[in-house]
Amino acid sequence: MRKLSTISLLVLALTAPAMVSAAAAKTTYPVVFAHGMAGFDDLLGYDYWGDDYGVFVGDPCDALLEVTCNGNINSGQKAFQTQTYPFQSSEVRGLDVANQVEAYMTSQGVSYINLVGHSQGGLDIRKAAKVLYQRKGRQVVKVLISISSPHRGSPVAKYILDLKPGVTNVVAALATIFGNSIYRSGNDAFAGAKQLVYNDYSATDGLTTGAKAFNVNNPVSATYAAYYGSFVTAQTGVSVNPALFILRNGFFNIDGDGYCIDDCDNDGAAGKGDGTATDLDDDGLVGINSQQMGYRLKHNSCTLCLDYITQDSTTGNVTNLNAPTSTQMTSASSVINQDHLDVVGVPPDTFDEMEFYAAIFNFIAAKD
Amino acid sequence: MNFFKSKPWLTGILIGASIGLLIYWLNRDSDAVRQLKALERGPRTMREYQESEVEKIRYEMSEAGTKRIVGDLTFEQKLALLRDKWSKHIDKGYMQIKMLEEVMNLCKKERPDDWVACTNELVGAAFPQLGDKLFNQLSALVRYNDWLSRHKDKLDKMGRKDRQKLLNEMRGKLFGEENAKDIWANEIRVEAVRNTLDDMKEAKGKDLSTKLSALKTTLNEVFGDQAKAYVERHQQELTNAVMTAVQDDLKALTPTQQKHALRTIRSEMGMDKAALERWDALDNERQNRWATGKNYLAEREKLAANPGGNSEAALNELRQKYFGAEAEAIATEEAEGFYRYKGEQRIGLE
Repeated sequence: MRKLSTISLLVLALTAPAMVSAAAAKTTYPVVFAHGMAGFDDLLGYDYWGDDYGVFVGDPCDALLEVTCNGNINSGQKAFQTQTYPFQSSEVRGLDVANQVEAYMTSQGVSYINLVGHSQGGLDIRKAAKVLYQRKGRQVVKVLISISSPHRGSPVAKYILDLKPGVTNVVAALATIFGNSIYRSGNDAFAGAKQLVYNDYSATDGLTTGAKAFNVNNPVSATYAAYYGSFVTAQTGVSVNPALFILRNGFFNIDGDGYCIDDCDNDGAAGKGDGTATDLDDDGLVGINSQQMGYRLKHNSCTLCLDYITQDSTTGNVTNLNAPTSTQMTSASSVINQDHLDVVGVPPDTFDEMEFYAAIFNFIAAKD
Repeated sequence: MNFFKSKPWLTGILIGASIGLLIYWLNRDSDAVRQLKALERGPRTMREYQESEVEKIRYEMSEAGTKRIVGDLTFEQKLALLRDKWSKHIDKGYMQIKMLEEVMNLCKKERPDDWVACTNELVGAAFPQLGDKLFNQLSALVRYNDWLSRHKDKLDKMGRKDRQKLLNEMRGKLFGEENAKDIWANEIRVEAVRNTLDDMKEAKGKDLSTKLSALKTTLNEVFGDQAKAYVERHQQELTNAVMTAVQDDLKALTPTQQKHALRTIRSEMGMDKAALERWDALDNERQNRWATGKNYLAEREKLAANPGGNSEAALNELRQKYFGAEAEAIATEEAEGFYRYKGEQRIGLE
């Protein structure tokens, strides 16, 4: 009898399709989105956390007859987008994100928060989680999720800093990829780029920079967040966004799916290649061996129904960011076949941002 | 070589043909536009289906606790799902485009060589009363995306306002002015708010209440009866943007005036009494943080002037004295060249 009821619970013969297109569950605590390098409203002129029509993925349809909103999320969902320095180190950006999260929590009167970061935003939120812990004297972040983040560096950052072929100027190269916001005051293109190189970029500048040191200072730790998860993206050359010109124009293609301890091939990211740079091993800016933090998450696409997220059971948990296992660096499991900019609102692409982020809200709701 | 020298006309023909081929290659239709043109040339027939078969769908629970469909979907089941999801607001341009994008993605997977026709079949059958309108939207969307891909490099190099102007022109041309305004309604509204915030930053000599009033006017103009809902939903983003825009004004005020101004801004952004009280406490806490930080930097400077004052041990002791549990974080920031309290505090923001 019990078996029968389990089966009947699992398989439902329904005639009302409304059930399947129901919105994502509401998270207990609000979700804060942190943008990557450049970012927010000036990522090549498009809305960062929006669809291709300027609608924020965290805007619920809560007003009568409202249509320019995300109909896939709960009508009571709370979400906020930070806007930090476009080009800076994650020590600077992360502190600023923490200030903005602190402000948002004060306005909303909430005690906990969930953080989602894209690209460098994934590093920034680790710093923010630590700052918030230190200020409150307790864990503040429930779920912390990164998307396409260079936790162990990006070879493209070192390629640009080294002024390799196709790059004559660090600032101009970053502006080509990310947009002209780099020319505004308060930006430090070199600090931003050095942040995304695994090792300390220069032994002679008297500074300690790079992802490796940042990971030691801002680790994956249950002290700072209850759950860590990450999405890994990769796409082959022909499909990548034209803005990723270093790859698009054939100057350099990351070989980012080999394993070794630290940056053994000195390309700017931990790990090495497997000898084939043209396979599905990077998203145009970051190799897959740099992207896993905590658990790897899988985006399950659902035809004409709500996508959903699951935790990948094959790659385990990356708790020490500077010492992932060989599987965690090389596995193609759950890799999302999109380039670095497809998962945010830079058109044209075939990626459904509204559904993807609704699925993330749903996943967080089950965890927070 | 001599052969070509003796026949200059042949050289001319060859160069001309090469240029022609290059122009053709650069301007050739993309696969999507080729599919669209084929569809436009032939009669667009409606695919036949059994209306009685619509809605017979079986579901199971996913690992994430959401329902998903068992097995492959039939044409009729797809129609049922499309109608269920989109029929409520299908008269709106934005919703039509969002539905088309979803169906295009589905068709690109199922019929990659014929996805334009596949999309037209599905949406036309799901909403036959809108068949022509949806086909026009599909046609415009395919051409717009093609144009966007071809002009991406040029657009990326343009300034925000010039790029927006060009995008709006092309959208109006392909979708029709009113239809484009409906599809990109949110982008147009947010752009208007952004421009007002830019004006607030630039406007010297205007008092805070005049600036806030200008923002409220814009919000009411562009969002109409949804203005309150928009402000509630983006309260913090707007508050931060206003604080940034009037930062110079805030810095020019006395501490008492500053406190009043901060309360006014937050109140105008819809914060209630409880929220304002929480903010009073946080403002005090932030002021104390900055006072501590400034005292630390001053003592650090004095220490550095003494022999051995810059030693790690001496600096650690000093950081411990001022920051306690945060001392280690401050030390790692300094190792990177970042001094948290070196600049001027941004009022209302940190």
